[in-house]
Amino acid sequence: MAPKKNSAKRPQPSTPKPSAPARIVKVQSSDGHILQADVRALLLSSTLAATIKGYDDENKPLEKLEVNNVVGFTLKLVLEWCEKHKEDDPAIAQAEKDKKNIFIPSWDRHFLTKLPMGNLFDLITAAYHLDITGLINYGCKTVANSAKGKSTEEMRELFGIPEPWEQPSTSTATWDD
Amino acid sequence: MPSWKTVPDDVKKEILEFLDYESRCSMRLCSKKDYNLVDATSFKAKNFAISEVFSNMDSNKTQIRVDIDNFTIWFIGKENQTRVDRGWDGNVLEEFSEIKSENRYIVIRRFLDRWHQRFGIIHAEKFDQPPSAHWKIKCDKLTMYELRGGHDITWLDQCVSSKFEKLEITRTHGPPLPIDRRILGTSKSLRIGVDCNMSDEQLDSVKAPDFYVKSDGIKGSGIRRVLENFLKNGQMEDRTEITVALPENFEFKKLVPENVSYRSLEIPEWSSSVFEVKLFGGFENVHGIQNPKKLRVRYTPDKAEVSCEVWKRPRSESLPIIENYDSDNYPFLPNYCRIKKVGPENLKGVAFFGLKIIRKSAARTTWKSFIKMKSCLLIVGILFSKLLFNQVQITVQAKVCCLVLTRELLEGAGLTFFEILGADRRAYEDSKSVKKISKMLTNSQICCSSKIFQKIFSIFFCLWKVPIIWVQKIVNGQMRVLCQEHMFPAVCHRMPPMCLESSTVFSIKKTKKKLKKKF
Repeated sequence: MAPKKNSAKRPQPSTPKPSAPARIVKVQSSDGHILQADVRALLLSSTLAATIKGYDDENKPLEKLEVNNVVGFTLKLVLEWCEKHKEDDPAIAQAEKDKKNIFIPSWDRHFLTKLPMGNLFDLITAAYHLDITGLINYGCKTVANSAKGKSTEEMRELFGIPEPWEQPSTSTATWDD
Repeated sequence: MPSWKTVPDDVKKEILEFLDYESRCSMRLCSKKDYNLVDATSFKAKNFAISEVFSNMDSNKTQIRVDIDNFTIWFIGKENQTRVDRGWDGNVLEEFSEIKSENRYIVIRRFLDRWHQRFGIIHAEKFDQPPSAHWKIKCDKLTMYELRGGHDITWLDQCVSSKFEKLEITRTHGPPLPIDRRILGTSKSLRIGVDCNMSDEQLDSVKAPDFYVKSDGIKGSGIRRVLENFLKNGQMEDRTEITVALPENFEFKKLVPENVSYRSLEIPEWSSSVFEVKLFGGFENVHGIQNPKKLRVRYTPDKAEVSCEVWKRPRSESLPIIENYDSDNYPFLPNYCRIKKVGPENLKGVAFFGLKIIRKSAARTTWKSFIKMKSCLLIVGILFSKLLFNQVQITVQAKVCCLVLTRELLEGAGLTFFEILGADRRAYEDSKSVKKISKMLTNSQICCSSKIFQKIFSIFFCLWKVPIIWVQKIVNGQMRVLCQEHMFPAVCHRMPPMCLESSTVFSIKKTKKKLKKKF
């Protein structure tokens, strides 16, 4: 069944507020790449939001944020996603914490499905480290959707899981769960 | 190469929570680590159903079926012999079947014991066993169908959910269902197909716009309030249905909420015990669904079934599309058709021709859409040119896919007008145009009321669900029709009765002078 667009449960994005002047900061990845991002986009990450808040509280000038556990390519993807969603109503992410009724918007679906599985794993892992709820949910659901209906062999191939004889111990799973 | 190995376990768990049951099982077999990880991740089935079917051959034998998403496990047996089958999408995987020397109820109970904490939605359908006392069932949508022995109440009590989104309890026998606050608080759909002693006061607490109840304790005023709620909160697919015992000679118009505009719908003679009105204004729906609603009461001396839903225009779904008919399904068409020459004399009766019946336009035909049809346009153009321009002689050959609906044909098939069309009679109750056509079929004199029409060649367009041309008479014309008399036996076997591809050739040679003489 096709996903229901804009279901009643899903909160509608708020009307765009009069945009304040963008506050741009530099973000450095673990491999030394420096990217620029709007602070409003970075606030989607709870981890970065806490860091920014710390700077603001101490009235320190925020010049560069270091993200030590994300490489440049993945960080670029994360920032691209955050930039797209910086105007979103926080109620959307809040409502989607309950994983039952997650609807992936078309832009996100396109953005995530075009990525190879390896990059998608990296992106979800980065989102997990940075604590970006929306990206984690959409990413995980995209991976789960791609795994749906696959047999064990197909799943091994899709996710790059070694064959049983390549593993230190083989599975002894039974159906009688 | 994707690297599932490098993904942290917590992230893997997040992904696993989105997997359905089948994918979880596949993932579980990928590696030992994944096996443990899957088991450590909670699972909420989208759909969980338990049902029990009794064997026709042996009264002691039953088949209990548990559906978890698209996985099914069967427990078949009697006394202390149980065969356990498993499979996906209803197909048994023989290699996983086993026989156990235990009673099936013990086996299933053990199975459910292992699973009870993971249930998302329980759909207990005809499983006449009470749940174990320690089971805690959490679900938003609960359906219980034909649970005997009052176990529906036990299952309901075992549910830890404080509020249901959808609740359906149906059974034909057993004690009345006690109504409590939790049942009344169901938010979207509440359907209680069991006699219950719901009172007017309890009825006021019902919030679900999709509502069905059977109770003799409900009065007319209570029904009116439920209808008010439905008009205010009901959505397109919702339906409110109440079976009550109303006093004799109750005026059903009193059920219509105040300030709501309505008009009575005409009731056919054969359904005299029906009251129907169309509610078309005077209410505000919170979802913006201002469509007219149909309030229908079907009554007997003892009971009245009151229902209200969005009024839907009757639609014809029956007529096959001639253009797209499937030759595999209707192989007889070309073979059994034969040419029958019909001259003007043969057309003294009434003949109806449906021009290229197109289902899309069938629902609501307008002149505009009708005129769009090529064949029709051609004929109309010819007729007008004949009438308007003198000395012009045109020989026309118009190929028309036509449908012959005559009284004789209908009666020959032993079917009524509605049956010929394969239509639901009730769907046409409101259709005035159908009545008109039906009247024409039974009384051809109406069609020939005007003498002028008898003298000129005329084509009338009778607007109905399908465009129909009535050819009353063609002077000096020829008409060749591929007729489908051989198809009559097929009609009785539900084959498309009027799906015939026919070729009609009109040869019209007439001048205006001659026409004038006729007048």
